[in-house]
Amino acid sequence: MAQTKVLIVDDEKDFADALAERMRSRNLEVDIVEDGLKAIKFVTDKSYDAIVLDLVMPGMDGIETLKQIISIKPGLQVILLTGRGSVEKGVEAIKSGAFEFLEKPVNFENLLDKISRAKSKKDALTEEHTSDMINEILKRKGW
Amino acid sequence: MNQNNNKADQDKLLHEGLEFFGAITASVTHELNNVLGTIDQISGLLEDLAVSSEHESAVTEEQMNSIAERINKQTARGTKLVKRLNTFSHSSDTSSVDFNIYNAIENLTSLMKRLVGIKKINLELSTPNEEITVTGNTFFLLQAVFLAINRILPFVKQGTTIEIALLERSNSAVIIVKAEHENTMAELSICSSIKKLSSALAGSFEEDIGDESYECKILIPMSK
Repeated sequence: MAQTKVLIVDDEKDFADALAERMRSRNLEVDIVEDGLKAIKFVTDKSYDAIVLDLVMPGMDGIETLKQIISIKPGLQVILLTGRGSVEKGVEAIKSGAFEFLEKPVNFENLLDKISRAKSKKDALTEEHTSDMINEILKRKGW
Repeated sequence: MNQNNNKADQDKLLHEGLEFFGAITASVTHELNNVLGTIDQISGLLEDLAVSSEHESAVTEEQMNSIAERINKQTARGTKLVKRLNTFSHSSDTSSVDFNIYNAIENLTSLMKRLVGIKKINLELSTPNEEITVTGNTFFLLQAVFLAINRILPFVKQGTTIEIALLERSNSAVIIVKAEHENTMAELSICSSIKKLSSALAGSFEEDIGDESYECKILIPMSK
């Protein structure tokens, strides 16, 4: 079975490193970037199954990063991590297209479960999109 | 009518003081939450290693030391934050006290680093040539400096530095807040709150909004 590929976007390096290390020990392939601009570059150049994105970061914030990621890769699922006092922002994130939002400190097993579900959703959307494309081709060919 | 205006002014200052206190504590507790979250994940790493050691190789001394070091780093960070927040919280203990303005402002700028850093702006406080002590309300002074920084913040480009300098001039402590801005500050009216806070400290406030630079001075009489 192919490894689940995750991108962690968080300016808290020590937190992101520890999280990535734990994910890798569970056989996930993990990249880390510390800001929204780098996240967009990574998402453009590489295929991921899920993004774990911090809401509050210097420069481009999590919501703006989320919107740009979705516009580049519409099927890609984004899990937002929010600090206390920004739950309203978390709700705003869901309305902006986030798959889920979790409050920090994050329960690791819960996060892994969300990543697994995010991957399933992404795969289902990809399959649906592929099926639609095939049907479109068949229709055009009159088959 | 005058009495009503005075009360309205006092209420406004009180409200702004609470906003100031709230902004600092919200920012610092957010950072503390990050510290705790990191410790949580690192200790989770330890748990993972313990579980895997039952089936695979034992946890090495090197791994244990590395984890201990990482946890120590976060607890040191958290302890520093709590101490600084505690110092800040005590700034409102008394209405008049002798205090070293560099120490007070250094603590404030350290607590504000994250607030300002989120906008990718730097905050730099220079060390004065000698110790500068004033007598007054520490909280009011910090609030005035906070307001001065917040005043220029929306107009400053990312990557710029807001500079704070402290010097002594004719028996007054002078706190200078300056930065370059993007030529959009022209329409700002004088900040009455900083003026009132400076007056409450028996001092004064001056401001110079240039086409591309901003400078304000808060002058406070030095302790006798």
